[in-house]
Amino acid sequence: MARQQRIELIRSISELRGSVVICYITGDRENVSTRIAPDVTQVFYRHLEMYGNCQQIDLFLYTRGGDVLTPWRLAHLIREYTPRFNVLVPYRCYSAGTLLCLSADEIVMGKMGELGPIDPSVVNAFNPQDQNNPSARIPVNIEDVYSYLALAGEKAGVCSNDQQVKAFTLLAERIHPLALGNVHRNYMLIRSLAKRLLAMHQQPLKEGRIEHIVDNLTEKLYAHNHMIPRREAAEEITLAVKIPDSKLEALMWSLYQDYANELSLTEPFNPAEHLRGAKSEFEVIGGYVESLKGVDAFVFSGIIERRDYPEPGQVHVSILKQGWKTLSP
Amino acid sequence: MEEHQTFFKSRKVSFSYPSDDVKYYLITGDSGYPLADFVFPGIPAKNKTSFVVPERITNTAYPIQESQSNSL
Repeated sequence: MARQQRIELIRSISELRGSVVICYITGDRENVSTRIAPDVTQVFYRHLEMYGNCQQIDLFLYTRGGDVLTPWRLAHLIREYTPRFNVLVPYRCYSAGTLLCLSADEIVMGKMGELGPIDPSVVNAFNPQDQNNPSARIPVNIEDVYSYLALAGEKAGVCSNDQQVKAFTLLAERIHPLALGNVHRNYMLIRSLAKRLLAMHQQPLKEGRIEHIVDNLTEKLYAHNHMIPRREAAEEITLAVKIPDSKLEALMWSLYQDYANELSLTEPFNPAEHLRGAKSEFEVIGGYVESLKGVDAFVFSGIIERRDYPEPGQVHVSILKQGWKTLSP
Repeated sequence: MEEHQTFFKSRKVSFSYPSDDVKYYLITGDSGYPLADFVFPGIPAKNKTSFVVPERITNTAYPIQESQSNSL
């Protein structure tokens, strides 16, 4: 669907909610997927400046996650323009997306809405080397490290000081001590961030509830790919979930489907299908920030080449440029 | 550039992506703080305990499995 038709859906949601609606889509199409990252903050600033101060901002969000610190920056930026901030979740809103939801006064979740745990994996220069790619480092999941220590204590009967030191030494022999230090720093960081984001609500939450939410989202779901449906989010985790009426639900789903079709989320990006001759150029969109005032897209562009060496019939795709681009106005 | 290969209907398609930008911090042994004013790769070896820490600057592009920065 073209922007003109999508504008109608955004306008309908905006009128129904009495809010400014900004859509943020980080596409998960294979080969051109995108994530929440700091370079989007300037794009948001552009849209927010076009609107100026307003009563309520609804962020329509589809994402599989991304950078740990960006939600904090985005939440503060959005709150500069409004006292009331909500997130509309038509479908996937995992990890860093869930973190962003914590700062929202209301999380409007459709029947297909899904949140995810906020248990990051960390990488720094001291992480174990990836055997398949020597320049890369293997991420370490924070909760895995703490689970190992809990396993040693609870299940393997490691209780004396000597045994605890041995268990820790075993870990430190395989993971560099500075990587473990990074794990601990991020263990505290994610909890601190989550608490501070929850404290941004218009109506402050009680301390016990904040602890309950943070504990659930960080360590009590036991799997990073656990999909949290709206009932679990509301009743068990006690997040500020709002159920949309059928009209809003239908609008949210139509808007999501529009983006999914536009970005071809369900089919891998294969520019080879469009190769004409031995070499051609391409441009493909991997994500959107869109409001009634304008649209920005994250664009990948590059060259496709047919190569017959070392094997015949090979296709090589070089992505030469990738970045946010203002499409309108 | 980072390399990634995908098979489409038995045809091998390889992708090259620009890598994220990398910032380098020189940690000095005596101060414990990053030394801001230096030009990489001409890093002055101030003392034996100095070392360089590379840190990737993440952007929205997420073409291959995350392997270089803290992510959720």
